[in-house]
Amino acid sequence: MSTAPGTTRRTFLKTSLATAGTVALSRRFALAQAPAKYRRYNVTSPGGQKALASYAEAVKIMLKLPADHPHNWFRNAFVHLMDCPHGNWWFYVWHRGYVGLFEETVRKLSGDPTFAFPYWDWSVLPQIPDAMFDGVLTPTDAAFEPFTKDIDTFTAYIQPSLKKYWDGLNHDQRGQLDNRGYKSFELMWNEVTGFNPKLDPPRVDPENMAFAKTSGARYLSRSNPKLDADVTFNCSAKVVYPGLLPTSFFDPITEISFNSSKTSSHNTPPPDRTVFSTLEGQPHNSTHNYIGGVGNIPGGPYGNMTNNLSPVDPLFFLHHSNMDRLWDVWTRKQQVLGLPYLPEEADFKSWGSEPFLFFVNAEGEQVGASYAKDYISTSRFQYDYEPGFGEAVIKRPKRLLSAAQMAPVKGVLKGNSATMMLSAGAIKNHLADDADSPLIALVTLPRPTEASPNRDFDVLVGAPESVTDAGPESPYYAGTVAFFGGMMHMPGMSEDATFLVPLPKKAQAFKGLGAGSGSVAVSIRVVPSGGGRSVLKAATVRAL
Amino acid sequence: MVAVASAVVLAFVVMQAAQPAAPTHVREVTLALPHALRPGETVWLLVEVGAIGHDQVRLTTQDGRLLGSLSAYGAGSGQAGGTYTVPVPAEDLGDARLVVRVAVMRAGVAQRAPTTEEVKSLRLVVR
Repeated sequence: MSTAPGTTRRTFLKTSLATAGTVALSRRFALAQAPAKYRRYNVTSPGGQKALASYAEAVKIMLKLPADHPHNWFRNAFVHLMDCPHGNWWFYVWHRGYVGLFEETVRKLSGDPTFAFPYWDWSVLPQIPDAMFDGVLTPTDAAFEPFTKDIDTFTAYIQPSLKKYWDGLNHDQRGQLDNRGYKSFELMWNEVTGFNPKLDPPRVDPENMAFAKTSGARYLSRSNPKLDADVTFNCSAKVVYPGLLPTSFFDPITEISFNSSKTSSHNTPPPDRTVFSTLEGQPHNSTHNYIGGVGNIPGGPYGNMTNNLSPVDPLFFLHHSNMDRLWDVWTRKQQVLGLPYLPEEADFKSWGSEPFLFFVNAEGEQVGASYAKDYISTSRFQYDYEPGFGEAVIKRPKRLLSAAQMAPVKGVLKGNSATMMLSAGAIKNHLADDADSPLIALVTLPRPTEASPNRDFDVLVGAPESVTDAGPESPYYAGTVAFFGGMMHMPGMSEDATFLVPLPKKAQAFKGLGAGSGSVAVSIRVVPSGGGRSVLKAATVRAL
Repeated sequence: MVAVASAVVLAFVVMQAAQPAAPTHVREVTLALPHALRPGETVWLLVEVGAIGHDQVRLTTQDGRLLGSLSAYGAGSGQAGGTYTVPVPAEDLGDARLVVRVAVMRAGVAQRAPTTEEVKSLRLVVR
């Protein structure tokens, strides 16, 4: 790759990625990708096995580096403990930056200029790759013993230099740690030891001890390398394939997204509840946990992979390369389908400008502030993947989404009837037999009370005012929404309920469509099944 | 009126045991879809899990087929819980209904039914 005279590699990358980020906001253009210089191979392939040999050389070197060296093996794991996001929409992008920068470090230290992390495709191989039990590629190896023989040994080894590092953190870094709940070094260190001051009496909870002694650093072994049936299922096509299907980077309405919850920062839990994406919540979580011994070791403590010092186990980087590969597969699927693969425009700025403050580069320097948008593309690290499981999800659609895509339109409510202006193009696309962007209505109505005789309500679209009851045979009938079970309101339950219903596929429901105007007035009512007055409280129409 | 022409999200939860022979070490929940599945649609089971620490929540169909096994990663997330999105194979849906058996698993302890704090809700979503 050549750069313009006077342009440093860093500024070139910043410029090209800024351009890529702008282009990425379009549904129709592929993310600008530089040709890959490195390839991440399946660990079982010859290329993967070669990479493992280089990886092992680098691990040996990093184990021997002093505890205050930024490339020290354990210090690198603390970057994860102190900063990793889980259960939110920075999960993939943070780990891409973390693994990518560490990959550059391994490349440098190993002396292998072609090094890139191999990936562990657990959908195909639901057991720890055999070579990951060799030498320093398992944290149970004797080479770890001088550092992780027991918690006292580890504390004496790492804590003084880590405390010195902590004391040198800047205001912004400390702010992020505060958000994470690490308001002091001692509170952060409690996660290492499992000490919980909130227990009565305060004591160590072995299950939450991130430290793992050498002999217990990994539950699975060469003679017992397999994931169990439940975890194998979570890693199988039955879960991973659907996990690649969501068409939204993040969808707050249906909750079926490729990413987990939207939060205010990568260190902050969501205000209400975390929604885990399928791939993070199941294959990612359960593989981490099972390798550490969850489900098999009563009461803990568990091996490294179960808690946030998981990068102490070299397997971590193969596991996360596979997660990153699946993100890449999903991104390419979205591109082929002409769908967005980043947060929608309104969210992109806040998502992309999230600062990551703890990364270390191959020179052993603090990267300083880098941002989520810096790690959108694998081009940032110039790698691609040897194809693995999931590629089949990428298939070209019959036609790309048309301009008929439209933003949500909120109805104006009058007398429990909502009216909104919809684009004629969007309606025509909706009425087509093979509509790729059908229109749906979000209708809000009050929950029936215990005394209410009505549990079922019909959604009517474009119906004349004289129509107060319509069934599936009616062109105005969109569907029936129903309240099941008892009507008793639970604590915290909203008085209203919102349902999503597709609009009818009948032109009669859109009577202004033939007038030639660019937009059409559409009315929506929600009436009790069997007839009655509308109870609608709000309505919005959007394209799927 | 039973038919609902929905192709998207409609989640109805019936939180009482629907079958007479549910074992005591599971909680059985019957969930209804608004309509029979159409080609290209996927059903998701949204499971809201409370603070389960390092316990696991196991989901099976009434006839014992595994739907998923849920566990929180890391101490912090384990304390907070969250909602997991579990795909449901079309073949596990009969008559637009799904009967889910939910159990809590823990090493060295017999499988048991979850409390309402451990598994707070289950919903079906169609996309």
